[in-house]
Amino acid sequence: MLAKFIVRRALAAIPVVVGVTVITFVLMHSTAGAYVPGLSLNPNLTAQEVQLLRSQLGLDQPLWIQYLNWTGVAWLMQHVGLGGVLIGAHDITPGILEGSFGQSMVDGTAVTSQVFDRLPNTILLTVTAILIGIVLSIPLGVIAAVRRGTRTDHLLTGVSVAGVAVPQFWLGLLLILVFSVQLHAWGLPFLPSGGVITPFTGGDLIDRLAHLLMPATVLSFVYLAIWSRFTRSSMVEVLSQDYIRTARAKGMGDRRVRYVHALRNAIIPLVTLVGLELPGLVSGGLVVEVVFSWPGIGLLAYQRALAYDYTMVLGIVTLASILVVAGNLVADVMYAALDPRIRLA
Amino acid sequence: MSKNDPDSQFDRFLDEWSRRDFLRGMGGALAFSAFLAGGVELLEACGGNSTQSNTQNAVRGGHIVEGVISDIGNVNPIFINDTASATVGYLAYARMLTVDANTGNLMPDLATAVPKVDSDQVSYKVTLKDNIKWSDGQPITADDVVYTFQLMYDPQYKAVTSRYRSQLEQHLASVTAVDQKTVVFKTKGPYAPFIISFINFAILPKHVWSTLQPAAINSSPMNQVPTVVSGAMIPVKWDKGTQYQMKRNDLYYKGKTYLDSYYFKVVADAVQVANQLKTGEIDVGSPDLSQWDSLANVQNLDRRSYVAPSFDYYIQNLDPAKTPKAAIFGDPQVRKALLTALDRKAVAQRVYFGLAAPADSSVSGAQWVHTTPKTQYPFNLAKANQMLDAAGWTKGADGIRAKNGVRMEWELRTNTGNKVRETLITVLADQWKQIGANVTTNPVQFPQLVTQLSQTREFEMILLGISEGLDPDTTQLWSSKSIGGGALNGAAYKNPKVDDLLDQAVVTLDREKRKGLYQQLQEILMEDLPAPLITYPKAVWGISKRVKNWNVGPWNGASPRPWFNTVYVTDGK
Repeated sequence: MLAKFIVRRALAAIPVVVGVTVITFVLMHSTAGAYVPGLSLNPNLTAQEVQLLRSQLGLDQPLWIQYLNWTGVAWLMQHVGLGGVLIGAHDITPGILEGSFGQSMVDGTAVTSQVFDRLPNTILLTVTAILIGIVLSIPLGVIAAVRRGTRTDHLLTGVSVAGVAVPQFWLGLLLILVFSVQLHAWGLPFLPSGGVITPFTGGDLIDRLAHLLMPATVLSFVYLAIWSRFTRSSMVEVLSQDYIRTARAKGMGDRRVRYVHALRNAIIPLVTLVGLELPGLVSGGLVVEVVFSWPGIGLLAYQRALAYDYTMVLGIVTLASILVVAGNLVADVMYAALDPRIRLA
Repeated sequence: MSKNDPDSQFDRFLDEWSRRDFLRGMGGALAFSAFLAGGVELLEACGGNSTQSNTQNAVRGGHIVEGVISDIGNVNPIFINDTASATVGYLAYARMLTVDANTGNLMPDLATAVPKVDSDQVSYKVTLKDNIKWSDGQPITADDVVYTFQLMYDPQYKAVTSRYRSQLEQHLASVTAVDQKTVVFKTKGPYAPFIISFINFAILPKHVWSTLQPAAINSSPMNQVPTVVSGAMIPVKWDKGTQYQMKRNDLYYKGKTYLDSYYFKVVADAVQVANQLKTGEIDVGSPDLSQWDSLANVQNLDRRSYVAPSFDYYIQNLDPAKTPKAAIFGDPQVRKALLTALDRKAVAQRVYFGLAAPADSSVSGAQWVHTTPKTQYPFNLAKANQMLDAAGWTKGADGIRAKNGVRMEWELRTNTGNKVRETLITVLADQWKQIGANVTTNPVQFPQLVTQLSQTREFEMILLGISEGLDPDTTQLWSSKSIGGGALNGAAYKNPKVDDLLDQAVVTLDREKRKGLYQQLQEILMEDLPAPLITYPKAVWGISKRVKNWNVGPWNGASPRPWFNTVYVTDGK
């Protein structure tokens, strides 16, 4: 039953991913027009060179041929004898069929190598942010629920609102200013202001954690805000249930009631929420990556999209959409596994 | 965040270096025509490095971290296309010739001397030094030179997608190894930029690259982390998006560098470069102009600025077939009035945070052909108004001038992501409002802007910056052959005299004669003003006090760095 569910979802995902690639492809080409990626305003550039560049990058071929070439369908067509349909094509390669998403049009590096080398950085960032979010939002939500109506509750509400309202780039820049630049100026130990490791001396665990701390905190702020509110309302609801009253009547201590009985049930909706973040693992950290020079695929996608690096952007978008679909699937399965009341449709 | 996107990367690239510079890069016609001219210029060329390196108290050992706002792309000299790749590429690969930071004079690197053209006006003989070796111990020979060029222009290597192919096919007739140490280049006809464009070039090791199929060369990982090199540093590791690590090459022909290792650290934008200079996370880097003042009082940091070979200018569309506004710009009096109405000194002070000089010609002050033309347009608002009145552009009731039913209003575009330019267009619009012109501003994505300027030519006025090459040839900017099709004469400026001067100058090998021709060109361009220059921006650096002999200058910003082997860190760490 589970297997059927997964297979069905996977099949349904294929047209989604294909659709995403087509839309991305069309959008990029229609906005770029005749621009050749990697081109700059060079006073010595001649018209012939521009033409040569276009040809080398395959941009002088009709759009539909470029797309088919990228997907590897053009290569297939050539091999089954339909090559004649591809008028204006040159340099057809197997493309995706051989596992290659092509080369970057700006610097020639393989798309897959760039994406897979940088993906772990993004995942590290978002997973850490999620963990920080969970670890902090549960106690905060519980405290707010238990003390609802008091000043503590209102304070925590304020923190939640701030978490949603404060822009990530502003918070990030502020933290850099205070914890990096100012602390250094005062001669105190300071946090690094960007990047993953310190060149030459760094690379060990402490160094990596020091670099990870600020970006992950900024990213977790939003999660914290939403999840603590959710935990709070969930806790409030659970705390008013009969079985809680029974436990208290039996003489069970407050702490045991809260954390052993109530929390366990209050957590389930939170799991759903966290699960909803799984698809965002890959794309969620873009702003933070930019502010902290974090070498993840968010930063890569942003920079390459602006450079009209068609192949790189297509590769990133495709891989990201596959991961998002997979993430959705995992979240659904996990949810069903955790709550026996749920049936997978 | 506006400084991290590739638009401003391109700008950085523009502001610091232009792609052709890697070929034409540094020097060329200068030094060799110095030999022809003799005398003082000979001394200049022989003197070579006018930037002093002091190695009296040099300490051996240690590392340096350079912060750069973009990652490397392809460091193979036949593919290098951006500043970051050039920085790393020319530390890894030595060249036949190199360039002095301040004068832009060519200096020999792997070659024994800067070559001069033979009496036939097309042959150049280059002799390599003795005892020069690749990092694997193999000797560097003339065969390596010939092989490098064949990759770029020989038909059997057509699969190699070098961007220099069309240029070489146009100008290079042959390149042959006469013996182990001597190479002879023959051009198809007299071509003045040849030495700067093609002899000022790095060499690949034939014994390593010839084992690959031509098509495989394009995607080889050696394009990012070369295994066998000839420069000051050997590549060790590339962590994508993070850093590029290099170590000392003990077989470098100039001797071992004082530094043990060099780290090229990728930072998202120039403001972050400034932050990391403050915290000491990087030792050297080019910060954002806006951070210049805040770096003044940072302990352990020095600042350096110099006028880079570049300029910012605005292009007026003169083609009536493309825009009705050509009726405004087509009037020479209007063009002169527009420039006269701009307070370029104030602009340089405020918009560039004081880090620019007002422009006075059609080339930057760092160019050896620069002259200050007789015709100048000092800022004078009253005079500008008078000129427009006299030309028949009368102010309407709303204060906007008009003539024959054409109102003086247009759209001024520049590229997004460059704070200086975005501010500049609003300042220009404001200044032109004072003389009765209604200018709207519109920042546009860089790729669109390039397409509009060089292909479709559908624009009214564009503000852009150009990073100059070492060779003064500006055919691509001003010739009537360079209209559309990817070339840069977006104004569609046509002047047969200018075409003639440009064509002549490119085949004039005599330095003094060539200089004279370009000076005539500057005089004409200052009269015609198709695309007036506004400022010469400065390049800025933050340099940690522990780093010595970091002799960057107008022609050595990112590359090449002939002084790199004299760089040391005072603490040896």
